[in-house]
Order: sequence, then C-alpha cells, then structure tokens
Amino acid sequence: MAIFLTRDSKVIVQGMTGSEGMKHTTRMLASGTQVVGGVNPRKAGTTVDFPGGVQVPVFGTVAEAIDATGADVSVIFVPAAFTKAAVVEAVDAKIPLAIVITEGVPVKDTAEFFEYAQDAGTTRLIGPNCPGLITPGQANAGIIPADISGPGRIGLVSKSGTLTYQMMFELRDFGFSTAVGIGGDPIIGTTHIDCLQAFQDDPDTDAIVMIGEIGGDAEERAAAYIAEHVTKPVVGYVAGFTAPEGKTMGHAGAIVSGSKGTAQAKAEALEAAGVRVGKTPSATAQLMREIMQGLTR
Amino acid sequence: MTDPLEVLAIEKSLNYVKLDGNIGIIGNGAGLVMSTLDVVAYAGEEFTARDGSHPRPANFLDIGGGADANVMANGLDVIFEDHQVKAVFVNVFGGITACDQVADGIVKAYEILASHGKSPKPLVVRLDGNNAEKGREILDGAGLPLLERVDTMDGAARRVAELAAAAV
Repeated sequence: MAIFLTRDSKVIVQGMTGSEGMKHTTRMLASGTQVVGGVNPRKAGTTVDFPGGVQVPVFGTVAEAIDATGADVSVIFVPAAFTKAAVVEAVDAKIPLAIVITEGVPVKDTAEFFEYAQDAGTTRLIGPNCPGLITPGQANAGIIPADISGPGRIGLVSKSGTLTYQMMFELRDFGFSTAVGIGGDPIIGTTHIDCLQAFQDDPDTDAIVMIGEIGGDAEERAAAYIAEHVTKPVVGYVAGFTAPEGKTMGHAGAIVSGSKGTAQAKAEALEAAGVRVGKTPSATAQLMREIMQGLTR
Repeated sequence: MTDPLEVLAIEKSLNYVKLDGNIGIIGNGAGLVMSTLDVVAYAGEEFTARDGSHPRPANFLDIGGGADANVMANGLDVIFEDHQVKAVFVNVFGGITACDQVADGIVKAYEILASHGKSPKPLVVRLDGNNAEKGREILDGAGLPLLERVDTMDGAARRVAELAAAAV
C-alpha cells in the first residue's frame, strides 16, 4: 500500500528536459519508478534516451501526456518563474498528484496555485521547495536518494529534505513505508496532518516519524490532530531550539516571531498529544527504534 | 542588516545568519543546519572554558544541496573571518551530493584559503550518506592541518565543543 505513491504510479516529469529534470528522472528510473513521459511544448513528439535503454516520450501538455500514458503523478522541476503556470496546467489536466520540487517560488504564486488546486479539488499538491516522496522498493517521485533506506513499516513526514535523509539513514535497519518531504515554505500543499491521516489509514505503516522546524503553527495543529485521530505511535523531532528570534533560518517559513513558532512550544504541544519528542535526530531515531522493537516483540 | 559578516555572506550569496557563540557551523540543508545548531549547543553544555563560558554556535550557514568547492571555500572564508570563532563544524549528509565531492570541496577550499594567505582554524568534519567512505578517505589522505574527522553528528558536535572550550 504505502501512501500517495506505489509501484503502480505512472509518473510524468514537467521540466524533464532541463538539467535537474534529466538528472533526477535518471535517478527515478534507476530506482524502478515508472516514468512514462516528460512535458515540454518545445520538444513535443521527441523521445529522450535514459541509461538502460529506456526511452521516455515528451508531450506538449500534461493533458496529452495523461491521455497517452494514463499518468497519475507529475513531478515539477520547471524554474520558479514558470512554476505557477506548470501547476495550473497540471491541475487543469486533473492529475491526481503534483509534486513541486522547485525552490524559490514567489509566495504570492504559491498562494494562487494552492487556492486554484483547492478550488478544483482534483489534485493533491506536495511542495513547493520540497524533495518529494519515496515509497522505497516501489517508486520515487522527486529527489530523495533511493539508496538511503529500503522498504519497511515506518512512515515519515518532514519539512526538511536533509533531515528526511538523516532520519532515513538513522532508521535504515527498519525501513520505510513512505517518506514524504512536504517542504519548509510558508504555504505548502500537503501538510503534516494530511500525511498523518494517510499513514494512520495505511495498513503497511506501523509507526510515524514527524519532523518539524521553527516557524508557523503546523506542528501545533498536527499535535491537535494526533490527539484526536492518530492511534499509531508517533515520534517527533523539531529543529531550531537554539534559533534566535526574528531571523529566517534558511527555509522561508523558518522564523521565530516573538514567542510564536518556537521549537519549545511545538515540542510541548506534541508531547501533550502523546508524541514522544527527541532532542536530537539520533535521540529521535532511538525513540522510534524502541517503539519498533516493542511492536515486533 | 548591520553585521559585517552577514554583509560579506550576502556578497558571496551565502545563506548565513550571525549568532553570538564561538563554534562556526556549516551544513547542507536548512533543517540539518538548524538541527546542528541545537546538537552543538547541547554538546557545549558539557564543556566549560577557562572563563566559565560554554561553547555555542557562532552562526547558521546552509551551503545547500550542491556544496561545490567554491561554495565551501566562500563559507569557510566568512567563518574564518569571524574573530569569535574558535573551532568549526562541517556537518554534511550526502543526499544528492556525493560525500567524495564534498571532501574534494573541502580540500580545494583549503587551497583557495591558503592562496589568500589565510590560516585555518580547528575544523571537525562529519560526512555521512552517499559515498561517505570515499569522502572520508579523501580527507584522511589530504592531511589538512587542524582538520579532524568524526563519523557521527553527535560525536562530531562533542569534539568541536571540546576544541572550542579549550581554545578560549
């Protein structure tokens, strides 16, 4: 099962013929993902050769790609200035899942395409500025390295790309059902809550790691959701305990404003919801290790 | 923006925030760097300098996924300019970037800094993930002055805190 992405997913890549698109399409194919097409109006009708003798056709529009291939996932690598148009096109074509890898998308653009997708109600968005998601051993949609960890029964949702990799590495002896990098921008499509809900409903996920960071109130809202709706064990980590107030720490959304958005407040909210919170990535992994060992005993 | 080091970092297109401690921090990815600040601050509580202070992070610096030699050199350059910095922690998890490329970047960064007549500060490097073994071999073979390699994030944080406390 896993969430959002399986071996049956048919993936197209908007921006496949650019350098990032080519590099990561090669990686997605190498990890067994069914990449069935690329989208680029200027190269429509051509095919692109990938290692292993794989030929991927390029289509002029997302709608044409779906008609020809039955694609149900789009990974978007187009430059920030063109991202809004690419997402709108994907939504218009009713693709069920669109993953926006591009970073530096203007927040105004994200706000507009987010609302557009919400109104249409036919497309789940992940990102922008995210590493995408991976269901190890089945499919990889984005830039998460496929060789960090194999399949297993832990679900992971994270605002941060490298902390996703770090946590997968720490828990590679258990493996993951699906790992989702939702991105650290102020406005994002899929949230912690969406992933918690999906993992709760996924029979192949036994326990969940949730990684947050300073800024906003997504972790507090996730904690409230967990208290009400999640019965599977959840382990949490929040980055930025020592972050100063009023400074943006890398991610556009990662800022402590006055007493709002602190890691301490987030950790306390999660603990109040029954989530075991680690002080460091390794301590968090250890908490999950204990839970998984308890479940298999 | 008044801090001269932040101005220098902006000139070099680096994602840098000046903090008030004495351990320079470089990492790849905003979340990992934020996490590194926390882990170093916790480790710092275990060590006390002669003046009674505990070592703490001196900055946030995210060199991003690419981490090529020039970015690494620019990052080290800004951190070595910070007179408060007594020791530096380079914390990289090779996801897309292979650790051997990161190691090459560190070696080249030392060459670039030497060509500018700058002397290095104690540097603790942790490389994990993609091609970590190759990266570690490159660093071990390069024999860079004042550079130490520690294999885990926690262990490296403790070592750099120890070095910073000893240097005050």
